[in-house]
Amino acid sequence: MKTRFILKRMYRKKSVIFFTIILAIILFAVIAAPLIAPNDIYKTDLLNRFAPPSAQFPFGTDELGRCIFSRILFGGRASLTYALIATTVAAIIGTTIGMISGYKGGRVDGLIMRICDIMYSFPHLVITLVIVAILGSGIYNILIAMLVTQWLYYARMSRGMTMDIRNQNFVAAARSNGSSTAKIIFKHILPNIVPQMIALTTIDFGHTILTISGLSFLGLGVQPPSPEWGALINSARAFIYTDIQMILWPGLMILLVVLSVNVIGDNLRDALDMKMN
Amino acid sequence: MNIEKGRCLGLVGESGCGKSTLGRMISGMERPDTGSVLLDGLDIYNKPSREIRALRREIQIVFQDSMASVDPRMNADAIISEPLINFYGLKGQCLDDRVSELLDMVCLPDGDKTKYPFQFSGGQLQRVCIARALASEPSFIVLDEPLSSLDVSVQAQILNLLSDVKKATDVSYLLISHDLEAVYYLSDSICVMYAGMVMESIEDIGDFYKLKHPYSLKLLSLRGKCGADSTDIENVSDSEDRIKGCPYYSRCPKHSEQCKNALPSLEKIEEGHYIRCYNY
Repeated sequence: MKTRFILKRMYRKKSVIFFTIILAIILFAVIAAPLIAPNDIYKTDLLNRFAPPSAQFPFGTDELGRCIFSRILFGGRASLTYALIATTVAAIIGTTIGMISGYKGGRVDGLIMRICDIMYSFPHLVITLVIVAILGSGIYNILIAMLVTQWLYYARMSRGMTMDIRNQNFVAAARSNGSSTAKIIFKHILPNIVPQMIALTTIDFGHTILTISGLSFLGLGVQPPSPEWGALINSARAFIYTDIQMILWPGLMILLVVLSVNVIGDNLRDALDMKMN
Repeated sequence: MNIEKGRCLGLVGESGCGKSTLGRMISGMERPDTGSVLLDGLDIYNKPSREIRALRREIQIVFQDSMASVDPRMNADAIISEPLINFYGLKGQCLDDRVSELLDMVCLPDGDKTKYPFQFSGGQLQRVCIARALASEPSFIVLDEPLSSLDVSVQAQILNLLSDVKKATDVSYLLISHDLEAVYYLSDSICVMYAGMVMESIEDIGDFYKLKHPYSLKLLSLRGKCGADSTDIENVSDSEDRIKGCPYYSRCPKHSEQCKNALPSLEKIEEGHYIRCYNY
């Protein structure tokens, strides 16, 4: 009942409907990539380099004669999956830590918040580079680096909201009704902060896609010849003046996904905020 | 301060005098700096944590603002079920039956189970809170101004409900209020509190008219007079006076040099009537 109410509020705007449809199409195409993709993504054909769009190659071919359309579909799988994993894990870990910090208060809270402060004081790229330098490049190490830099945003936000809720009488009532700390945190506090955390997660999701693509662009993330949107842009960089389509399509994909997710996240947050109405 | 089984102690005093703090201490939410809270002769703050949980079953609290004291994302069923699951491990049909029974006890229809807090009126929600407090079959309930957020007609209903519940379950109450009439109606004895101290206490509410501490008289005279003489209600004495002498010194019409210099103790002036004042 409540979910329906929120969705109704959210989809009052045409822009939200529009971007939801775009995102749905992209997601569907990416998930169904093995069925849709017309060509093998690793099959090179040097005689057919930089081919213009055609029936067989809808977005044309790249510098090795590979199908750009197919590579974008499969690249999206990497980009979106990794972004989803990084955001979800960071959200879950960060929110849990934040709730414990906010609920317990005192020394536990002080310790966790000081760790956050320290992490805040380094540029994220520096932390990422240090982690990559220690663990080596590769997408899994990038995911670890993303986790290390992202959890604090969730921790900070959930801590603040937990502290608000903790002082309300219903938490005191729950305690006097015999609920344990874990039960209070997960049954009373979590459901009350989940909407805001979901909104934060959707906004952060777009950010994460950009970061992973950016790091792949720098050659730290997904390694060629595996396709990934950022990696595709990186390999297209050399041909930006001669063959614009190589960089255009993956760039457009990132733009559309990030834009859609941000619009949806923004409106979701507004829809969840009862004060806005 | 003593509360016997099946009886109700009314605690009155102005805002900020420490009534609610006392209630929170009794219900185990705030540890007192000095003194102790005894239930059946046992100190509730001097126990291993496992026993404290069992003790929570015995002491429940009903808050002033019913809306803030229930989780906005839980329906009435879930709210009332919580103590039943935690303390008795009830589930399925048993749990369902017990929730219905409790709702019936507070005169709410069974269909209200699926309603959410924002769908209830203040009075109905206060009933849900009372049902939740009763769910664990406590021996003691702290009623922290349960009536203040309700309008007058609903106040009467809730008072009747509380009085019926007391008769039916032999539970003891601490009724915190600044409504003297409500206290008179529900309580068996009364305590008047000022600046964190009991100024006067009467064990039999029948002796209500015998209240004679200057502060009690002030409270009585102000009853029903909205903002009658605001200068009387304002300016709680500054802390310096409070440390040495009677906390009510600066506002008391009968004050003397003695009151300023030393704190009077709570003296028995007749059977079941204690007072903290040098004048008696």
